[in-house]
Amino acid sequence: MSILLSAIAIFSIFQLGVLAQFYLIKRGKYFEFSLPALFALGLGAITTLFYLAGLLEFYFSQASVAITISIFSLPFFLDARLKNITKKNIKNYINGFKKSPKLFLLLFSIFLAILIMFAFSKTVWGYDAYERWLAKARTFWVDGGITKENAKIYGPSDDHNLWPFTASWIYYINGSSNEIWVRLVPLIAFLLIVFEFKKHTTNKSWNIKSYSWLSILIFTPFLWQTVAQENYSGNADILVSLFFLLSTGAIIKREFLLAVVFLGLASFTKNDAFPALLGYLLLLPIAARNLVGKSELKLVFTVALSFLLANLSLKYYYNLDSRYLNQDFSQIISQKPFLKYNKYSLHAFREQFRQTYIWGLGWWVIFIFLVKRATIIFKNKSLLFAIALIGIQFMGYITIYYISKEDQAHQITTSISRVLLQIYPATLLIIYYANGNYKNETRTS
Amino acid sequence: MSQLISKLLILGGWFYISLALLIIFGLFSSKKISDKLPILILLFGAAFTFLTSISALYENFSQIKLFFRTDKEKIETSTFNQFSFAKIIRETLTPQHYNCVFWSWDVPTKYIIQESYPIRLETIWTFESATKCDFVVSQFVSRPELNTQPIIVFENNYIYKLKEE
Repeated sequence: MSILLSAIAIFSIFQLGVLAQFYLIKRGKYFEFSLPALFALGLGAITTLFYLAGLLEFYFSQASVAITISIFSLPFFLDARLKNITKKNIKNYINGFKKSPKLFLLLFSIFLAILIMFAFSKTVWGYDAYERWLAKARTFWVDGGITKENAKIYGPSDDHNLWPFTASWIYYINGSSNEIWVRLVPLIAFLLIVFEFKKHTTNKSWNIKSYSWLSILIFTPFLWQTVAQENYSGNADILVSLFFLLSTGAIIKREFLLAVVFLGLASFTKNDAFPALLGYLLLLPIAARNLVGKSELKLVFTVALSFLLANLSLKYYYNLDSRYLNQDFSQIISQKPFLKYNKYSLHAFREQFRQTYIWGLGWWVIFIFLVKRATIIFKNKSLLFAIALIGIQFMGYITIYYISKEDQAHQITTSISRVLLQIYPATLLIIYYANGNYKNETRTS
Repeated sequence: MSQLISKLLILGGWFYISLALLIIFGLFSSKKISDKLPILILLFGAAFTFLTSISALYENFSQIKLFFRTDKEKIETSTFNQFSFAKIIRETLTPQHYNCVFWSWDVPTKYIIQESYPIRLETIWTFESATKCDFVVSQFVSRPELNTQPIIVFENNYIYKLKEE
C-alpha cells in the first residue's frame, strides 16, 4: 500500500508541474512535456504551497492534502486545451520510447531494476538526513506544516526546505513518515537527470557518441550510489544536480526564464546553490544581451531578483540562521592564512577528481574536452555563460571551505563529493555541447 | 630532479599525467589522428566508467536479497530497532517533561531525536548533566550509574525516570 500511495504522491508532483508550466510559464499555449522540468516545477509548487500555508497559518493533514491534489487535478478534466495537450504529449512520449534503441532500453532497464532493489532494500540511514532534511520533513508532517518555531527546530537551520516539504508531502499521502518509500524522490531525480541528458544528446539521432556521453553520466558511480546507498539518499544534493542540469540546458537553449526558475528552486533546496543564482543575476545583462529581446531580458532579471528576495525574506521571516555569514570575517582572515587554506582546498579537489571509484572517468573526459574545446566555449556566449556559472559555483565551495567554522579537513572530507555531484551533470552537458554538438541545438531567437 | 618527478607522480598520478599527455598529443598529432582522438577518448571514458560501476555493483550484489524483506523488517534492521523504540518513547514520555537522550552513536541518536518528535529529546553527554532531566533515554547500553531501575527496557534500549512527579 505504501508504494502505491508514494507513487500517487510522485504523480501529484508531476501534475502540479504541468499546471505551473501551462498556466504560469506558457500562459495557456501549447508546450512539449519535459518530465524533468515538470518534476522540478512540481517541487517548486509544493514548496510554494507549504510556505503560503505557513504564512496563512493553514495546517495540512492527510485529508487536506488529498483534497488539494483532487482540486489540482480538476483542470485536466475541465480545461479542454490542457486535456488535449496532455493527451498529445503522453502519445508523443510513448512513441519516443518505441523509437529508442531496444538494446539500450533493455540494458538500462536491467540496471534500473538493480538500482531499485538496492534503493528499496533499506531505509534512509545518513547523518545529514536525520540531522536536518528528513528530521524537518517529519516535524512538518507532525505539526501540519512549517511554523516560526519548527522551522529552526534542528540545527543547522539555515537551508531552505524544498526537500523536507517534498518528503512531508509523501508522508501526508502515505499517512506515515515512511523512510523507505521516500527514497522514490532521489530515484526519480536520478532518472530525470538521465532523461534530461538523453534529451540533449540524442535529440537528432542515436549514435556511438550519444551512447558514450550518456553512459558516462548513467554509470558514474557516485551518481547512482546517491540513490542506491542509504547514507546518501536522504540528502538534497541530487535535487540540486537536477536543477543545475535543467538550468544549464535552458541557458544553452537560450530559455533564460526557465533557467532562472530552476536556479531559484536550487537556492530553495540548499544554500550551496546561492552563488550560481547570484552569478546569474550579475552576469545576465552582459551574457544574454543580443540573445533575447529587451522585454524578455527585463522579465528574466525581475524573476531572478524576485527569487533572491523571496529566498532572503522567508529566511528573515522564519529567523533562519546563517552559519557562514554570521561571523567576524576580519577574525577569519587574521587567523586563517588565505593562500595556505585555499591551496589545501584546491589540492582536495585535485585529489577528488581523480577518484575513479567515485567518478569513473567523468572528470577526466570533462577536463580533456574543456581544454581541447576552450576556444569554442569562449566564442559561444551561451556556453560561456553556463560554464561561468559553474565556475562561480566552484568558487563558492572554495569560499565556504575557507570561512567554515568547522575543521577544514573534516568539512572537505564529509562534503566534497556531494558538492561536486551538484555541478557534475551540468558540467558534462556543457562539455558535450562544446564538443561540436552546439549548432543544431539552439533555438532561433 | 628526481624529487620533482616523484612529486609530480604523487600529485598527478596516471589520471593527470595521461590527461596532460593526451592534450599535448592532440596538439601535435596529424589531422587524421586528431580527428579520431575525441571519439577514442570518449569510448575509453565510457567503457572505463561502465566497468567501474559494474564492479561496484558486483561487490555489493549479495545485498540485493535484502529487497525481498517486508517493510517492517527493513525498518527494524536498518534502524537497529530504533523505529519501534521511538514509538515507545512517544507513548511513554510527554512534551511537558524535560526529556534527554545520552549521545550514543551519531546516526542512531539523530534518528531517535527526530523519530520521537513531538517528544523533544535533549542530547546529554555526561551523568552530571543527566541530573537536570526528568527522563533519560539510553540507546544500546544500560546506565547503572543513574542509580535507578529503567521504567522501560526494549531490545537493549532503556528509559529511566529520574524525577518523581
